[in-house]
Amino acid sequence: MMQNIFFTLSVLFQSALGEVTDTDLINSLKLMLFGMVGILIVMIFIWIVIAVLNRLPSKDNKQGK
Amino acid sequence: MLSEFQFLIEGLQVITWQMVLMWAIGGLLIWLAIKKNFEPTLLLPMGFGAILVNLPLSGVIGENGIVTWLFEKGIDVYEVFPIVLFIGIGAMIDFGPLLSNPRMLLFGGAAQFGIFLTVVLAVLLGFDMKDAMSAGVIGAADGPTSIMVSQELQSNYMGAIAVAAYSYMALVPVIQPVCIRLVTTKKERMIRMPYNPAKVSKTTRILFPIIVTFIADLIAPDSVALVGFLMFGNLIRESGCLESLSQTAQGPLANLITIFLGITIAYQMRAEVFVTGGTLLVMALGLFAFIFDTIGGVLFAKLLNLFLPKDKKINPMVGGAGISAFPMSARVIQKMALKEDNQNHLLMHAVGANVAGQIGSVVAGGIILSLAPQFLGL
Repeated sequence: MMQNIFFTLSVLFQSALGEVTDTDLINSLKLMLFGMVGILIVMIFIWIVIAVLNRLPSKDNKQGK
Repeated sequence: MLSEFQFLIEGLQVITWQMVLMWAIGGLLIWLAIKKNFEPTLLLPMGFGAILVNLPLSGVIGENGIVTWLFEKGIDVYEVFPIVLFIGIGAMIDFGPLLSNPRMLLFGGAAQFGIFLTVVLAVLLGFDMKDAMSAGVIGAADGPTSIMVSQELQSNYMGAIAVAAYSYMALVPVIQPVCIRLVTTKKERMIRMPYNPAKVSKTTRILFPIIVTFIADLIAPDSVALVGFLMFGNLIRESGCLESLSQTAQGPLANLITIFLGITIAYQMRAEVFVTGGTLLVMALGLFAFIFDTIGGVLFAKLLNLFLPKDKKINPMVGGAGISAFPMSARVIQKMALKEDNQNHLLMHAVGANVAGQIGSVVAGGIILSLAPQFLGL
């Protein structure tokens, strides 16, 4: 079923630049999935790090108190 | 007798219409830089470089050509220019608005969506994976990252990618408002967000670049050249004891590299590699990437709003600021917010998202480089 959809899509988008291969199409979709998930994981990690860093007692905070 | 002076017209004899077209493109870039103030620091050297490398029998390219040498040493082998430029960029960035409001990081990630959607579109248009990935990275809205990724992947369209990345960055104030209005309602654009920043200690500011470098390396090792140098520049800035180095990185170093980067990129603007149908498509794909970056960020904010309590809703326009074009994008959001409600000040939120976008774009570039071997069979 999925393969049929990709085949139809690639036929629809045959371009002057070259043949659209199902493999590239599936790879690009995988890249989108892995890439977006990867970025969000990195960002969440950094968020956690900042949250931890912001809770660390620091000289500035002590002076503020 | 006349044949003795043949050498005087040798150049004239080898002029092609492609060369003339490239002179016109070079002239256009110079005009955009000077008259329209479109990223002049890069477009002007690139414009002049485009003319320089397309002169008949140009002595700047070829075996002993200086532009060829600069390209080989500065970009081709270790991507020295784009990476070193990141030290300067890192030294210029104040991560304070992000450190005090870290949830904005999510938008720096979400607004990279255009990159990956563009890769899919590029593949559908017939580009092979390496060119599709390189074209997608235009959406990072980050010139050095685009140049580095396209070079690392050995893309055939590096010149077009650099031109697109810098041109569209200058067009952010035109592109973003249209995209944002398209996917938001007036009511959403009027959402107010109180700004209560957490206090950021100096320790946090110093540890942040070091820890982010670790995280980048652990998750996407190929991103560490970009993230590491960006964070190195930031550490110099935040250390507080290297003011002179910080000023040098922000000023002379960044300026020097920018001059050379612009003229060196022109090596990839030689008529024989630049004047192709693919170049036009790459330019169009770049625009598509910028549009869907903005839309991705805005829609992600709208998605988050579904789960947030009424008093904590996020103005979706802030999501659109998650691209790397700093500070233009934050300014655009602030301007749009004030247009809808003259008491709605979103600037600091938008700056936070915009700074997050600078991290997001280099991480996206690194992730693409990390995944490339898997998808390119390298």
